[in-house]
Amino acid sequence: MRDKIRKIIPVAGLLILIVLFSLTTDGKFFTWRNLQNIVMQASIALVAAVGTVFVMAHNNLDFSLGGACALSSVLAYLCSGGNLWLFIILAIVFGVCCGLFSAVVHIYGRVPAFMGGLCLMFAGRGVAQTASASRNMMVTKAVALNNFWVFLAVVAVVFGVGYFIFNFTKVGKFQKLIGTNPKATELSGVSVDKYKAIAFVISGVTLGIASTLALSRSLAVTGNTGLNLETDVLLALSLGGIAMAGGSATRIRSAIIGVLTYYILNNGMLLWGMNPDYVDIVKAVFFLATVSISIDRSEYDLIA
Amino acid sequence: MAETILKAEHMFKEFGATKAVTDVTIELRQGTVLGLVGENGSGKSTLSSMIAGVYPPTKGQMTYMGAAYKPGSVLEARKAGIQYLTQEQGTIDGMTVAENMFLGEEDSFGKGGMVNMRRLIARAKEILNENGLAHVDPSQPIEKYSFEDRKMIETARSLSKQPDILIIDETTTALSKKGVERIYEIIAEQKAKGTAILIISHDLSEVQHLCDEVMILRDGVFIDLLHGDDINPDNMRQKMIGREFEGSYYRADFECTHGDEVVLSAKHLTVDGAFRDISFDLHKGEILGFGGLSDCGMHEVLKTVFGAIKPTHGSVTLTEGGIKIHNTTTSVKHKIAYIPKDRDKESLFQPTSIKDNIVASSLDKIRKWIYISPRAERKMANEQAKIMEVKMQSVMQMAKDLSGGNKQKVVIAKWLANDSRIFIMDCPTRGIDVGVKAKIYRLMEDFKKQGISVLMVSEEMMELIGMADRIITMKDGRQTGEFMRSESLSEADIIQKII
Amino acid sequence: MKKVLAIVLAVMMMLAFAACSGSDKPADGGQEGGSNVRHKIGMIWYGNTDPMGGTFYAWANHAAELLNVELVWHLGDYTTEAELAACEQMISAGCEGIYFIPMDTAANLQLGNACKDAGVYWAVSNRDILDEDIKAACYANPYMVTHIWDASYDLAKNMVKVLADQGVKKVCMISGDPKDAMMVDRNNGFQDGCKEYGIEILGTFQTETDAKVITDGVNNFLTLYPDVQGILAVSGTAGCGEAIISTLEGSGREAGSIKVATFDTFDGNKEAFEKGWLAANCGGYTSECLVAFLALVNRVQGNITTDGPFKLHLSPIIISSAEEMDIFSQYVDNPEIQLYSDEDIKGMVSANCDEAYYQGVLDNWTIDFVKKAVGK
Repeated sequence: MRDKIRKIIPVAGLLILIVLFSLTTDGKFFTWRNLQNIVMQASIALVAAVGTVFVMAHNNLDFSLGGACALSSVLAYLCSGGNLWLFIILAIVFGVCCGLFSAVVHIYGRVPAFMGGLCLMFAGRGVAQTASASRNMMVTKAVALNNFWVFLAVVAVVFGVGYFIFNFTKVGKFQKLIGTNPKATELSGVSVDKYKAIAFVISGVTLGIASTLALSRSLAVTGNTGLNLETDVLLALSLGGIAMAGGSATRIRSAIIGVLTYYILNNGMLLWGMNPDYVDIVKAVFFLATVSISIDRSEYDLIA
Repeated sequence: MAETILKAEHMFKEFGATKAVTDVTIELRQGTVLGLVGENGSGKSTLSSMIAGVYPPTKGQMTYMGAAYKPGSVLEARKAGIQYLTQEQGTIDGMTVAENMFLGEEDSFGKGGMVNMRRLIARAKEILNENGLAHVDPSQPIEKYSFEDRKMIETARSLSKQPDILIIDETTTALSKKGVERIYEIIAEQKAKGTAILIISHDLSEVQHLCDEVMILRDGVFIDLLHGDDINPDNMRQKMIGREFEGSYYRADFECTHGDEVVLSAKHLTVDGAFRDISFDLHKGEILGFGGLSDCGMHEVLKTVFGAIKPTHGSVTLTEGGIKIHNTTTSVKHKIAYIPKDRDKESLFQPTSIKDNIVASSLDKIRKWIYISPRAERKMANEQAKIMEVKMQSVMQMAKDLSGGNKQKVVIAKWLANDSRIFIMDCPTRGIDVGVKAKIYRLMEDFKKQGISVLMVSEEMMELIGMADRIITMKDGRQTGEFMRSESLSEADIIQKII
Repeated sequence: MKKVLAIVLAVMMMLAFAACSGSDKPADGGQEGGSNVRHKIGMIWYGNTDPMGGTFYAWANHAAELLNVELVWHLGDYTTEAELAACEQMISAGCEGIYFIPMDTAANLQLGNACKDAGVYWAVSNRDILDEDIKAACYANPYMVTHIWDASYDLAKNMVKVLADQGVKKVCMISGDPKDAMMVDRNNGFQDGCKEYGIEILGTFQTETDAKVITDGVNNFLTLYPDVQGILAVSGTAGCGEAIISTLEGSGREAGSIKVATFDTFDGNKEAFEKGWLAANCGGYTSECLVAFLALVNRVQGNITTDGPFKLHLSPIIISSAEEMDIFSQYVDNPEIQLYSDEDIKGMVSANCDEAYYQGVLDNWTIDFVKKAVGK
């Protein structure tokens, strides 16, 4: 029973928020324009979260997102010379490179992947700030992509493909097995290193796509590109009830539930006109409440 | 008859819908050794845990030294004079030996929360010396010592204050011969002092040797209480399972039967620090056993053959196609199965469904391009679970909720699903009950008939002699002998080569 | 279980849609009314904890109360993306005007488009629009109310004049990044000012943020050009101002024998004025935020009906003495002090206010204005 409550809480939290904001914002919440806003604002984190779920499923944390987004955006801009289509392709290519970097550090360096992620976080931010200090990196054409239907289509395709890979292919299934018991996975004839690397590659692809979405929102690569992306995604995934240690309990729906919860919470409080000083406090309380009920503690049982 | 110390009457214990113990009455008497036997999941550990205060019974009452007894915790039971030794580690890493020994009793070494460490250590040293553990320094952190030493420290602790009741729950499974002998000594000493002793064990000859009376449980229900000559392995085994064995326990034949064709050959395998220059051929339909002490390198040999350890020298080659094995992916692709010794840590995905456990190695068989249909997965899992007769509600049940024997069945099902042609088995019957053991032995015989080869390590000599076509003995990482299957082969022959 | 949840979710969404499609219209109704309707303005602001941020936060809240306007604040956004998200949400929340400092040039285009689509006015200050295409697109946007940028060129020239008035004839110059438009304005302002006031530039080196480069460079100047009388610097931030003064103090020259004119206020500038090292310093940008905000309120309340933006510029306050520095640091960018009176504020929200009027308010932003406002 307790287990069931735990699993339902993230969905219930989202529903409660939707009902609450529908009733308390004079209908402003459920206007077509506002729903468009929520989808567009949530898209970047949602796309990045889909890839991150693969990495978390095999029990790694990815702190590189923001830095990797900045790094791949800057490199893609410099190599594409501001051509939009080339930028998109290159952003994905460099995103994959960032993922592979984390993978190599983790697999050959035998350290947790977030070490490599932290490196990328600082390096990416540094490169972006240096590059943006010396030149203006604008892609004005990207304004065409800043459109609700484009964003919706991208999110639908990324989540759909992610859902398929995660639940119905070896790549997804092995991530969960590795997260549950890496040794047993290796001894079942699965190359753990290879499948971990694949997870990082997937995370790199979604990161590249997220970078493109970010570009079409900001039209320029700046020193602040992708700022806080990793915290947004990790917070959202926790709200979505993701299993922190990965494994079989990992569900890709945590990405969509969590990201929507996170952005609807933001949106609703702004619609309330709440004092910005309190918004963060309310967010913190909501986060604590949801996560403390929904998080899977089975691994902590011994301590309790 | 000796005086009753503790009586637990009409005990019930339910975990959710599971009835672990149903209406069992047990009596512990002064100076009497009572054995508690049953298959895995029969409720033995649950019953003893209630007596030791691990958790309260759902229903039932206990009388201890004539008064009602309701322990709130293990510490409370311990203070009352009931000591409980388990198969798991009962010490806490990060604390010193002395602190571990007097956990919960620090108060008697000081006042107002301050503990007199010097007195604590001095008393600990005294107890260690009395128990033949003079080499242990009580001021050192406990994790410095081996599992066996820690187990013995724990034992010494439980005897530091003369207990009235001593419960020993499968403690000997994890110990070396020396440790086991020490435990037997302790049992004899305590018996002489008049302590009531409760022993839980899978080793039926051990039970026969130690116990004055034996209680048999099956599915949480009391079956029988045996005395005197009734206490013999065959009788106990029969009562535990509830029916007579069909045919024999081990293989009935004494012929070395297998094909001439070599399916796998290992040449000059060496892994630094584990074993040196091991060579052998595995034939079609052969059961090849490795025997030795646990640290002789035989477990590592199996892992190396499977590709999980990279050999320093030498190679493992499959005859078919001349494939060299260098990692686990290659070996599984070429239909080799590996069943590790440490089931929970190395072969089972515990918080994962039985289905996912079974299909883990065979996804290539059911995938269409990259798509794996959940229906095909369930079908495969159901088929294999049925063959292995896994006791479960459905294949969607979590593997961690199964008993040890059923877990092992799931592991074997995983490899059957992949149509494995070579089975590498490291102590395949370790810690599982006779019913499942017999099932595994029948399966190995089936393998022989189908031309499937088995490479097996066992720490039970009788199992090796009973099942293997050929036995290679090892000692300190080297091959010391080879025995062909024969009726005259005895444990002594093998032991001579491994010690 | 899952199916039940899905159905509940679907039903709820249907209900909510039905409920809100009806209430959509009254929300629009407020657009027409006069000043007796309480209008809602969205304020995207970087933060209210530093002096400038806190001062504008206080000024805007005070003005809003005075003018019966409701403000929705969103603090702490540092990316265009975050500003855009805040802007979209404010529009959903029913704001009729959005004020923001664009994080970069693209933000003008993105937020401007979002406002245009929703028919919401927007005003920006403190940044120039560097890209000509974007500038053209913004100026063509009928909902843009103000575009106010910092007039660095004129300011630089005026700072040179302060030195010239004190008899300086030969200077060395610390220039800024020639790729950065604002720095180019400052460089050009210094150079053209020197030409105009007959000052010779002996030597130049470039840095904006590296105090160590400053120390070495200034020492080089003193060695190479013993007759140098003044130093012009495009930046005093990140320890640069302190570095110039401390290098001069350590040079063994007589205090005040070399006069410094530098952008940006810095620590110890009052002492530097007192000793005579510092001749001109500048700072204070908050008035352009207020002007942009009030012009926005004016447009939202329907007092002014012209399309297209007012293009305005602001010169920060030039400080040329220790007393002025004292007044500046006490009263400018102090959240407790309202430099503009209630009449000033009301005057900036009326039908009479045109581009020239607002430019006049900005031109009046001098140390004398501050002195008068605080009665000194």
